[in-house]
Amino acid sequence: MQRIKVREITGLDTLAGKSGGARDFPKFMAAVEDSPEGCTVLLDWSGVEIATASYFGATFVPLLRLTMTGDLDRYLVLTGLNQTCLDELKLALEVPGLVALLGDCSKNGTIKSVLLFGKLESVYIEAFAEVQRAKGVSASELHTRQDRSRNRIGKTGWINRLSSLHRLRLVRKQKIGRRFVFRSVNEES
Amino acid sequence: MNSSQEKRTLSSSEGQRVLRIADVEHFQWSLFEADTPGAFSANGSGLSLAAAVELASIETHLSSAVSDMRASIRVPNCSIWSLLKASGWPTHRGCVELRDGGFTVLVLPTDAYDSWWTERLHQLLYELRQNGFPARLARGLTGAVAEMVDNIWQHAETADPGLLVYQIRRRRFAFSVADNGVGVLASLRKNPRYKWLDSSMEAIGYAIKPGVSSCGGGGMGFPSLLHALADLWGKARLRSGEASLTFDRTQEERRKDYSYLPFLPGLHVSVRCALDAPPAQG
Repeated sequence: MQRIKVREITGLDTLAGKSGGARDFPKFMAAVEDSPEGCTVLLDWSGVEIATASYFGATFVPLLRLTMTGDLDRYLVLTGLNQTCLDELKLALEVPGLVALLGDCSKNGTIKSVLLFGKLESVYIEAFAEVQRAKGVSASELHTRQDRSRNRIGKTGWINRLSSLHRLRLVRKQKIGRRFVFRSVNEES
Repeated sequence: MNSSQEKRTLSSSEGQRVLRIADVEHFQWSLFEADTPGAFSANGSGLSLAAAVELASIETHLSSAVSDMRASIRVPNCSIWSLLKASGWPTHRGCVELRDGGFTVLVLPTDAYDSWWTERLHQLLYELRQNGFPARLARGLTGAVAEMVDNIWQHAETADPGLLVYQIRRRRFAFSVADNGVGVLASLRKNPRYKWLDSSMEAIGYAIKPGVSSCGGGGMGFPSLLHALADLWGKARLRSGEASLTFDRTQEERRKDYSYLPFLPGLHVSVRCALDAPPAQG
């Protein structure tokens, strides 16, 4: 995991506007590209008093899009945002319909758990929760494990859900033998 | 102004009453309908913050559009107007801060790269907190002001600098961010998706929606502003071209009022808000 302190790379605690975002995007990009491919990048916003929706829209949102298209092989997790910044981030994610990960960090700086932030259909939220619980699980394991009394989801259904979550860079995907295992982004192999 | 020319005068009829936006709108209509030189005078305690900035813009527009049809605007004993009038509409961009009578007038820099501007935002945040605004609201309001200023840098397309005027009192905040640029309609029409817009009224109605912008990836400024004001009492006014849109939350029921007005260049965003509900009428 790589931690990037936004306050340090930007040198500011007030981050506003699309202009400010355009100014700082190269700094974010350079810092993220410095981390190894495939790793989880923790964007730490501690010490940032103000970050507006336009600023997120010009910095974090394009980074997230790059990860989703596969042009940037990283998993982004946000932490240290105050309530005002969270409100603004929510606005920034709502328009393009994106979902981000918020990390709950321990005192030594490691990510204890991750939460979804943004709108996601309930079936994906359920699949995400299964991955967080299982600490490494395949679609066929989820298929066989599910409660037989409820409406069962087919194996293809689980594959589609997990693959979509990976495409959104919300879970990791790893090929082990002939099967794909999905795990939380805070579990780096 | 030639004294032999006919004047249309609008002045405060109630002595010391502060002239407000409605008076400025009336004045602008009188200019528009009469097509003759006009005079605006405030005899009493001056103008409201938003009214002062809109008047400055009207004067600038009239003087540049028709040289022989200058509007004479006199507002004695009103420091904010004196400042704006004395500077015309400031011709030099950036980094001027004037404080007088509880008002802060900032002539804005050219872009966000300016450390002076960052310091001013810190100052604004500090002042809001000192005046009773909880941290979350103070941050939201400061961010909203920054967004409105950024709109000028992004969309105004003018050599004239933008202005930020604000006043903070205990648990109350008023600000106006204004430019003499191309306005909301011309700006939005640059985006092929909104090329069909043909009135300022439609343009303002669209501009407040999340994601609507003259260029891709923007359109978050007004939603940020409205979000910051969501828990506060007061009014927000957007004025551009022939339109104004007012969000009124001076009563429990929120209202959104559109009105057609004579042309005003650029975009003016004026907000008057408070933590406490206004006292009940009657």
